[in-house]
Amino acid sequence: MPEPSVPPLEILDQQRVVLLRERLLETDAPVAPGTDLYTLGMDSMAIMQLLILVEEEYGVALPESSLTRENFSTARQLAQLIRAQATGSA
Amino acid sequence: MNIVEKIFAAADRRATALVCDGEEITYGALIERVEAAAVPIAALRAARVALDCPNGVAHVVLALAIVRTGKCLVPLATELAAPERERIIRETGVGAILDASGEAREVSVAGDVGFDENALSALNPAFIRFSSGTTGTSKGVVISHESLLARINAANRGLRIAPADRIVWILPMAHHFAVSIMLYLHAGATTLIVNSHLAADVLAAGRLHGGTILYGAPFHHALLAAEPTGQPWPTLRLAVSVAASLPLKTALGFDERYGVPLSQGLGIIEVGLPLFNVLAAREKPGSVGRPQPDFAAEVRAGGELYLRGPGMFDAYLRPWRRRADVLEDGWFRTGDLAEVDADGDFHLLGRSHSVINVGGLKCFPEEIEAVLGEFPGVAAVRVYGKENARFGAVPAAEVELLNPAQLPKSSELAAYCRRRLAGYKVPVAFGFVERITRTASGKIKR
Repeated sequence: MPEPSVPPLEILDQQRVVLLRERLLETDAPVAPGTDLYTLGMDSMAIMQLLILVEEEYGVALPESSLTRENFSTARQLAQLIRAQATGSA
Repeated sequence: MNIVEKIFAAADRRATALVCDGEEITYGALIERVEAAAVPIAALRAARVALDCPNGVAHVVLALAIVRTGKCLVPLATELAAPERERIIRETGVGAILDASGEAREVSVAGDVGFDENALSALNPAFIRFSSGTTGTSKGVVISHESLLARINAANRGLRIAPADRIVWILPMAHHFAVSIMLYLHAGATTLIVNSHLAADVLAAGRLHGGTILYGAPFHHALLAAEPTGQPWPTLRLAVSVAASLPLKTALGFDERYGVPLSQGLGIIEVGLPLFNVLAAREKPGSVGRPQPDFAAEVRAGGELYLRGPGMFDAYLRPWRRRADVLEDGWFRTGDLAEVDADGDFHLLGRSHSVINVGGLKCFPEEIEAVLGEFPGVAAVRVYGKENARFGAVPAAEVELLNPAQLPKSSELAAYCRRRLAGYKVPVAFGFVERITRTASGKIKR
């Protein structure tokens, strides 16, 4: 299997922030890697979109069992989850 | 006849109607809330009232209040982009929009709404579900109070929902209300509203409140099947899967995890719930089962599924077509491809036209193509469903440019779509091609 092209964590953090703010939550509120996403409207529809975008951009299919409230709580959590899945260290 | 009046007249006022975020609402309290909300709605001049409200108690109260007044309910799905909402409001001739607080905003209705107001009101319409058509033209499915009652009664002959049942509700109410929440209320059951798809939340609500029935889409069931704690859900007796085809892995995983097989049903807005797998859910999780009592189903030459039964839709709004003019000798042509096995169980094979089903949310390539076609420099677009293991399909686009040297960024195209389309309709990938493949007659090849 080809190695998925996942950038290092700091860049991934920032990419997640942009993706989350502009593409999923469509909010103008400031989003930092540690911002609580649920307070910004991270709902079921956004989670569904997120799964699709992560798959398309990084070739990483997040397993169903990883779809927990904690893993979706911040951009940083998400970035860690994506990296862990991509490198098989989950 | 008013369906809400009928539900209220039969209700046991002490029984619990809704549970949401720890709040329990009896039928008595629900009736009071609906009657109170109906007063200002009744005073509106509008014949049709849109409801722009996320899942929750307020959605149920306001939807019932609109229908209670005899006005026609037009649900606005929360995920829609502004231009999509405006189009629904304009094309259904909505005269007022209610938000989650129940506040009404009146809007002016065009002098010529494009359909016959008198013919519509003669049908005693309870609600209009608006969906975009295959050619990008809208439809608007009109359902009367009488049809609603008939389809609720017919559906419950198979579902057998009783006052003791507690239904765990996770689907968007703007998409599913008539043959679901209306049915549960009519049956005197309790609806447990869970505002999360996450397995831990759904399971916790089911366990805490003794949920007996789960109604969801394959994505929700996949999450529940993978729920890692192993906590049982002993009160669950029926798990229904609708909206998209159920992957075998999900069906087996769910049954193994909870000891209840997933029963696939076919819900169609024009018909109700004609097919439902009660008899062979465990043996044949891939089947949508047999016609429910009172319904008939046939697969005709070409493999297309035809249905008939009680409580079918009353009309299409735009262009205006009465049920009798749409049906073929009393049968509704679904556009679904199906086959029947030796036991008489039906299996869906796909759609005869181009609809893309993103985990249960449907969109037409034509509506996405129409939006992208307006992007500066775009000559032609072909949108197709790209296979996706989790959601079945996701939209992707091939773009032909007027000047291939001026390549737009994919992110610009996506942003352009996002302002005009619900998020799930935005293509996940944009490929730039020299020329879109067309048929001999010049149509985009699908």
